[in-house]
Amino acid sequence: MVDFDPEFEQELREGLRPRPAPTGFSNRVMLRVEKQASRPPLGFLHLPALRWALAGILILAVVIGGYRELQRRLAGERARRQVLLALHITGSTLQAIHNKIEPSNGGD
Amino acid sequence: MIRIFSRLLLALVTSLLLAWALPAASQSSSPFPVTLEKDLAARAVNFTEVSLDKNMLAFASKFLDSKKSDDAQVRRLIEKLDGIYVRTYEFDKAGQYSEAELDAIRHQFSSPVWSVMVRGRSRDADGDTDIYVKLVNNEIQGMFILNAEPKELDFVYISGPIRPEELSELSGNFGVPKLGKNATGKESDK
Repeated sequence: MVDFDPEFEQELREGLRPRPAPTGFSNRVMLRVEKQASRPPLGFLHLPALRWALAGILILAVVIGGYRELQRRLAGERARRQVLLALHITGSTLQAIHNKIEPSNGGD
Repeated sequence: MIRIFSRLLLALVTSLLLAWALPAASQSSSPFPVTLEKDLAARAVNFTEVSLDKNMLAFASKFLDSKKSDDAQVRRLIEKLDGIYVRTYEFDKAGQYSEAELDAIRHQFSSPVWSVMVRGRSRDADGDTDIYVKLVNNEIQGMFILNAEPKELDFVYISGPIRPEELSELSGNFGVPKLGKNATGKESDK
């Protein structure tokens, strides 16, 4: 049989004695639980590196898109000027032909 | 095994070469009906070559402002055309091209599909003019204009359905003086 020190046993009993929770403890616990529940879930965007990568891709897409649109507009303007030049030459050529033919017709 | 592999490789290389060569060949065949002398541009002090096929015309028409009357007129004119091809050569002195060269060009329009609309030959070295029209089912499907002056050669080929009256609309626009009606087959105003 093992003998316990009565003083130590008394301290142990005192320490293990159930005590009532402090006033308002359950309310505070419930409030914290509600707060946790109302917080939005953290998605994959909470990773900073991923956020930067996505922003970079977006900016790159906008820059490439803008550059391609600019190239398209420049090519379109060039094509438009070529059409006007071709029509100008056509008109001038017809005018030159008209000037050659007109005097002979006038004399008839 | 090695022989089969080498044959497969040969077939693959051949098909790749064909795939590369065929589109290249189709692109190099110009729709411009005149086989111009290669050195014509080299002899000229100034030359302008404009080639606009149907795709290019459609692309250009997207950049024409329909609110502007000139642009709207151009759009109406080009929307049904298959192409506009222009060549102009300016020489520093007369005699840079021969009559034989012009005859060779005219010879290309001797086929029944082409008809002479205007033929002008000058006695005072003013130069020659020819306008040919391509008739398909009695409708004009193309027009070729040749204007030869002592120091200048102009070729214009308009491919697609076009009415002569539409060409008269060009005058008074694009820096071209107002044209009489004769050049488009109508009676002169004078």
